[in-house]
Amino acid sequence: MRLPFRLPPAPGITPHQYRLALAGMLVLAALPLLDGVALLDVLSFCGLALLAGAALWCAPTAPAASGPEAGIASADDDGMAPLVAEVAPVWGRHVRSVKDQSETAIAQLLGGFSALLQHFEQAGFSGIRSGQEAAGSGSAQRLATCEQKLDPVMSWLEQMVDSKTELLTHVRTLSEATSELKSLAGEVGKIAAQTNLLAINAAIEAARAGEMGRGFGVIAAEVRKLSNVSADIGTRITKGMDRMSATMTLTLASAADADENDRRTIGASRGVVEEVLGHVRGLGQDADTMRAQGSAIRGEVEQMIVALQFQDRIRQILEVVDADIARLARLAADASAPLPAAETWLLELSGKYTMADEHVSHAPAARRADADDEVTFF
Amino acid sequence: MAKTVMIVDDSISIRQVVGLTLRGAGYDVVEGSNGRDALAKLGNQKVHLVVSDVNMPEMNGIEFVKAVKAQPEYRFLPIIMLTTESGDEKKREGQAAGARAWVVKPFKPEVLLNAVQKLILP
Repeated sequence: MRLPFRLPPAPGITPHQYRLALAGMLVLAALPLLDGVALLDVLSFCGLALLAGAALWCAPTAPAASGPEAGIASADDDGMAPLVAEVAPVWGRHVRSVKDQSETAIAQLLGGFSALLQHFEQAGFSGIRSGQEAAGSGSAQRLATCEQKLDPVMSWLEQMVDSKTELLTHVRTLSEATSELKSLAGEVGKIAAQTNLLAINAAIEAARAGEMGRGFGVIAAEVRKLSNVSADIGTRITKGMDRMSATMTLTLASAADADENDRRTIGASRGVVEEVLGHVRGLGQDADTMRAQGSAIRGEVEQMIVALQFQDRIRQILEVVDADIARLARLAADASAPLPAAETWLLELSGKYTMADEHVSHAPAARRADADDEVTFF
Repeated sequence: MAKTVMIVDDSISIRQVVGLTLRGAGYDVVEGSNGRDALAKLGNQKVHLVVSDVNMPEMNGIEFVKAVKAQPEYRFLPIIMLTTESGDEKKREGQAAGARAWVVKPFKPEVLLNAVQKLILP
């Protein structure tokens, strides 16, 4: 039954009892007036009625039965209903706003991290769980190849110079042999000159011998001819050796100059090659460091992405809270609906939980659940 | 040729995290936002394994598994449940529906990968 005015709360008395007591007081107060009795009697009855009402007001009542079966009062009795009906939908909108904003922000974060990981992949920084060879390790291989290729270059160049030095030695030997031949050609000329003198002496003696020396004279003449031929040959050999000797000298000088230049070039090249090798080794070390750091950074990014799983959990918690706020708002909007006990309400709420920590938040005194098995195979 | 794993979850962030984990291990990935969406996409390509959430709108994970296993061509398709639910009753429900494994969120990537590698179709 709805009353036209708000009743003040009575300690230890239910609203139903309150109504009965008030009605009884009014009846008692009205009876004397109906029969036309004296004013004093009327006042006496009114006083009795008021005293009865006060006794009923302060009478202790049995405690309300506990448990889900106890109904208490309608949602309208304490005046909270209109407030809840107005406020709860706003709470619900805030909760949904938090859920949606966090979901959007986390999705954007994850998108950014995923793009970051793709860049890491392209740069050759493998992840901590990747078993595949990273593309960037080709740089390290190329640097190692450069080092391997450059290392023997200097030895090859030195071998080339050494072979030229050997050639120079042979040219020097040839030059010395040429000088010796020239000397021998000179000896031939001397022998030819002496032979010619001997032939002249033989001709003179043959002439002195007269008729008997005629044959000897002929021989002397032939010997003289031979000595002239020998002298001529010796002269030609000498000229030829002179030309060869001049050529050998020039060749020797050129070879010596070339050898000197090659050695200077080798020396300069060695310095450059070793400097380049030093830079190559440095690049290789820098690449190793960069790869290690990049892989470590990628691993950290992957861990951060995995940690963002929390968003899914808070989304589920917020959805349950949002649904319960809506349930409360519906109840507050329906004044005729009986107000359930808190225990009933919370029991229905806990039935919607899917995670262990939701139950712990529901009842903090409860023991925190042990860690769930990570995977169960069927 | 890379094998294909289907991820079914109404959470974008979870699909991204699981996708990152699987792609990093060399798998191709297709995504479904709930059971009904995943069923529609299942017929479009060869899938070697499914990772599915339980609590989803329109069609939850248990209903999805039952629907998949009802089709003869997917009778042997392995399905791993990936969910915040950890109760034994729910696990039994998943097992009865035909799931092959149950992984609790938040998950460690190596745990999920180990389960995938163990169950995926050859």
